[in-house]
Amino acid sequence: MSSQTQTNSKAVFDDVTWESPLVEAVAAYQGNATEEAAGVILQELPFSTYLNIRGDAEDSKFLTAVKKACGVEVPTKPNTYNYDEKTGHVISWLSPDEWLLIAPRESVAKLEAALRKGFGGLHAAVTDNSHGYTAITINGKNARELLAKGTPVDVSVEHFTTGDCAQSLLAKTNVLMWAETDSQLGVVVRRSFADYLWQWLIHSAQDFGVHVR
Amino acid sequence: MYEIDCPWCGLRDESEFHCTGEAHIIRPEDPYALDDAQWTDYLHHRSNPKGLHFEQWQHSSGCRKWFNVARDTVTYEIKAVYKVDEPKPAFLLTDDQSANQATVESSEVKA
Amino acid sequence: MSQYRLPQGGIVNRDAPLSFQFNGKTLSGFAGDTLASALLANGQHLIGRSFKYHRPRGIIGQGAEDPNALVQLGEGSRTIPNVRATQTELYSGLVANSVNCWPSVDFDVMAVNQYASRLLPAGFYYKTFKWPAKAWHFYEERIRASAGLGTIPNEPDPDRYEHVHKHAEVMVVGAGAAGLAAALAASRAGAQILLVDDQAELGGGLLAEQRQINSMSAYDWAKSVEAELRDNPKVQILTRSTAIGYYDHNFLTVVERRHDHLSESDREGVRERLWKVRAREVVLAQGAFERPMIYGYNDLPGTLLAGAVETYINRYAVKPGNKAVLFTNNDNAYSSAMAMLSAGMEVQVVDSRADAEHPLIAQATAQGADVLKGYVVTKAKGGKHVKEAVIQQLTPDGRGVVQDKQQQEVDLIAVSGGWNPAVHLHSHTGGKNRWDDEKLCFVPDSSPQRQVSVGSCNGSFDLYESINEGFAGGLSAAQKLNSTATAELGFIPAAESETADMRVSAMWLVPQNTTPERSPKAFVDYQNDTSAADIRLAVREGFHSVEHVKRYTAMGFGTDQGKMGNINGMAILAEALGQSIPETGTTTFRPLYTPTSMGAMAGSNLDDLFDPIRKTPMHAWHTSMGATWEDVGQWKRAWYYPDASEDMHAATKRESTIIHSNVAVLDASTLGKIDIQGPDAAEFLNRVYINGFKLLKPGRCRYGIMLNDAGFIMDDGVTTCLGENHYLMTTTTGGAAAVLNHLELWLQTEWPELKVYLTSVTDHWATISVNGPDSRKIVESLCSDVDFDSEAFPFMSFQDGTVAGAPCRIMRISFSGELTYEINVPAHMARHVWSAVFKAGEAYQITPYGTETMHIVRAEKGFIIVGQETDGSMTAHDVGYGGMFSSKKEFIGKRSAQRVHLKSPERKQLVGMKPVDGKTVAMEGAHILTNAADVALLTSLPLKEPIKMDGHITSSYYSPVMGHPIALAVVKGGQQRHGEKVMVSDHLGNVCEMEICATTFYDLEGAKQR
Repeated sequence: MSSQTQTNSKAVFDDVTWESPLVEAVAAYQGNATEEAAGVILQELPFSTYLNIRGDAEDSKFLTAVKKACGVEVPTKPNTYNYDEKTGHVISWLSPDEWLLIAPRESVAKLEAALRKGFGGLHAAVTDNSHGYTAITINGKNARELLAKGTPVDVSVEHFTTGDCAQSLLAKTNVLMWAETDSQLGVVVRRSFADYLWQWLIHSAQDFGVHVR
Repeated sequence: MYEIDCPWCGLRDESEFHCTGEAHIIRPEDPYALDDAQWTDYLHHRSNPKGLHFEQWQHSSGCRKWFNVARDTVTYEIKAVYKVDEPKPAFLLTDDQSANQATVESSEVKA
Repeated sequence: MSQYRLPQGGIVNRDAPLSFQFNGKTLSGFAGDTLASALLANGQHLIGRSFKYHRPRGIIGQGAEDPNALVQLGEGSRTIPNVRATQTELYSGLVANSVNCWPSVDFDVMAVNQYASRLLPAGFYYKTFKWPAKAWHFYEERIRASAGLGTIPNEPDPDRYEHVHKHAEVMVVGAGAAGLAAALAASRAGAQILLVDDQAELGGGLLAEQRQINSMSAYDWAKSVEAELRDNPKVQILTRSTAIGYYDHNFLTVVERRHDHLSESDREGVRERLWKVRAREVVLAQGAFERPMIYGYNDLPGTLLAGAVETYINRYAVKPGNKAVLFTNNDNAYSSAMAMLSAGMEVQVVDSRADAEHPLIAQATAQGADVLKGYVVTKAKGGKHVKEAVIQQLTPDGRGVVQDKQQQEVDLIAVSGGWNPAVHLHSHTGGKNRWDDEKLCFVPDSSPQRQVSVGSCNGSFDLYESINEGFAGGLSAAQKLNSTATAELGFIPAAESETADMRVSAMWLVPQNTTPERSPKAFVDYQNDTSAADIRLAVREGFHSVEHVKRYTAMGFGTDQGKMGNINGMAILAEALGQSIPETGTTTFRPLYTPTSMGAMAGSNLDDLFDPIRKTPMHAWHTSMGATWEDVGQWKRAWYYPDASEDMHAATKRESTIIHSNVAVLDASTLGKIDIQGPDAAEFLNRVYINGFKLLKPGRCRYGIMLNDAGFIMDDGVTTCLGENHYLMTTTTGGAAAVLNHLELWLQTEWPELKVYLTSVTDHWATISVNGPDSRKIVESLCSDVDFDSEAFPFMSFQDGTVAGAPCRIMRISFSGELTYEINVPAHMARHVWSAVFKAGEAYQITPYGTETMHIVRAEKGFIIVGQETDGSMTAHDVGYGGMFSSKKEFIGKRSAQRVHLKSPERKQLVGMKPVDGKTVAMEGAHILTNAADVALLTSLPLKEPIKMDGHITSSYYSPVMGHPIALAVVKGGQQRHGEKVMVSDHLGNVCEMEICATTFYDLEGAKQR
């Protein structure tokens, strides 16, 4: 039960072909600059697990249950995420009672089951939305300038730093943006909007020199 | 273009929000105790003040939560932002309005 | 070297000569010139023709205030109409042409209008072409052809534009003396700053200033401040950038022009960038505009604002003439007089103030200016350029002039009627202005924004006062963000200034010996040819509000938006009305501050990026099959799949036939899907749907109708019970977001006690809807872990199963009326399963179908589409679903639905319709006549009174399976009128007779879908 072949946006898992929403776009255009020369490097991170988690942030049982099931502390500070290097699990704050757990593809069933079991009789919920999203990393020295062309959120180094995330508009679609380092950022976007957003990113990054990894 | 202080997400641009009309419209406890005219009044009739106005806004591109905004319809200043289950901020009300609000709240408790 | 370029001085780069073209002539200038300064250096004053009378127009100002010096810039797809020469930087190869003249600016046919100007007063076109009313369309076309300035390009704009968001702690608008000082203070106080200026070089008026600041030239001081600012990483400077709009909560838009100063071959990247700035504090330092003098033929080329003359001499080393009259009502203008003298010009000063006294006047006199006090210029003479100034003495009361005239030969009349602070941005968000009786201008008063105006845009016209005020303003802005911040200017610019205490006296309209109506035209709006007499005429004709007078006379409607003449116009209006200027008020200052390209407004929101295009996982497959597209919300849905020879009718006939005979597949991935979890989920569903959901068992599906609080249908869809306290709701494609918001609103505001969580999973699931008698065979062949026996897997239930290796949820629900299996598959695997379905269906002639066929087959069954059969005013009773109303529970819309008029049997109700001739497909939207006999009226237009209508057709198609057209319609009392024949008429006048019938046409018992 392991992956057999994998390109960035098309892969076969257990004899079933998976295609990301950017399968055509990523193949069609690799940018106008080499990776070294590019001001912006775009890369799709397809096929992750996305579990939407709902619960009461004031209830320690809920917080403990999530921590136990996925190994990451639930961020209760708005607009932040917690990341666990060992498992690769990320939990982002979405609202006072809503979080997004991002994890490797393989772990979806295990995580969903562990969360449900952990919640027991609590009023909490987990919803698998893994196929409803994709993620795009936006790296390079002009990454923040690129985001600033589309989002009203202040994404300057001073105001959007490692560990920060924000739901907002990027161009004309809703996204969850995150900051990893000064020059490494990313967005989670709904599947049906992904191609639109990708085209917008490519268009808006052309003067920086854009490279698709 | 307003800048609105979402009670959960902080200061954000108006483009992330939607206004969904007047706040503090109390849904009648027993709709069937009202005649059609009274019911229509609840459904449709809204105040349209020049000056201070209380509104419901949703942070639609953010946390998706509704909250209340006290806004001046002349200067477009936002005087206060508060959670959806909170009363109108006392500092914005005249003494009469405060007394009136207290009455409304106590009658809600009774109902 | 031209005779008008001074041998030395100025800050143009004499080592960089540039060649350019004006009206086909090749001319030259220097880097650092504007097109206006370069033209003046070449002795070219005549630039264009005015809008109405086609009078000759020359350069009058130096910046955004100039209404005259408009050119058509560039050629081909990049040509721009009505560009101000005063704000156009010269570049090598620039091509400019005059506007509003034919065949040439020197010989303009329409200039005949000026000799008929007595016949063309304000409102001329309204008055003349009013009768007969019908003929206006005829006249309009001809009037429009002769009007209009400049021409727009015929080709698409080849350039790119973009928007950028910017957040600043302190934004400073304008980099003149006050703005630079403000930025300096705020930066020394540690604030993060955005400084914008509309010119190429920072400095504003300092670039033409001859006095010293801090023991250095004003120019060097500006450069030293700039160097310090550029050294600070927290300061961002935008040049060639105009703040065009100031909006609520300190949101400003700035357009940065990145190309227009470059030769076409040097242009790279986006042409313009629209910055959307959110600033915590704003310092406005936009400067001021000089006012003209309003006397006879004050519009002749060779008439310039005095400050502009000073700038042309000091900054560009260009003298706009040799022999000048300087006509002023203020002390400030004497510094212009001295600039002219230093350039070797002869200067006759005409000062309207008999008692004028100021050190500057003494200085100017000492340098050789001849000063006439208590005199005015009443008239200019000349054809295409001023040749003579007529000078008369004011009567002692200042309200008239004595008869004696002096005629002075001139080639330049410099005018200064005082200064108007540029209060535009301050006013955009409702900031108030106050009339200052001493300075004779509006100055900024209160504002709802966190902002301060400094320098001459605050009425502080003295240079040194401006610097002090700017510094204090910048510091106080920084201190609002950090109360402990401090900054030192490091010097005191001047303890006592020789330019302090400058005075101005009112001279809004120069008196004449004749009545204004008999006097030579004195222009207030140079571009629209609005004269002082036009304003008085408007008052006589009953227009008293300044806003009405503006619209009647067109004053202030030009590309300068009244920056030049409006205050004079308002003062003339005030006098005509016998009231004060503050009582008269100003017209509203609105964004945009200066004309802005459509490209900057659009940014990258063009073509495929104009609005998001939402795609299903099968989008590329539909494209490869030649699908046509229907836009549903932001989704692209396959509409129909025509073969090479097919039109829509043929394609949908084929698609809909095969659904009933074999099998056909619809991509239904766009339907909204909401995951509902929590112990109160069933109660919640009960409250939002009109029918009951508490008894829905796990594994079963139920159709529901959702009303809004007013009792009208807002959405419908199937909800499935996935397990205990866990449901999946589907919504219409277009309604998905609205339904989720509706549900969230009720949960968050009315029912916070309900323990329910909602999550949109629309994008997670793709839906492959396999319809038709052969559908089971196909799905069964791909799925071995589900029992497809209809006992085990009945209609309106679902099973989890593995389809072509993918974990899917198969639902037995139908929107086609045929046996249907809807395969819900996690979206990344959807193409895989979709391909497997088509491969498995090859033997059954499996066919894809689009939304048009979906509409046909659902109409055959009488299934409504919310938004097509309903329009926000239809109740569940109206569409025949009243039987679904649960009497056992309370739900949204229930009380409203019981309102008396919503229960009326006379409401429009959903019915089916068939054409009596069996052939005619009625048009959707066609009306149903109340009285069939009224058909006769349709041919006797115009109607004497409206024809009574009973309703309209909502859906209409040819049904291949029925062999005749079918329609759905809403008809007054329609549910009781089955069998009745009615006349139907559409907007093209087509009439057909139709019979009202039941809404279901096909498979009346509903056996097939089971």
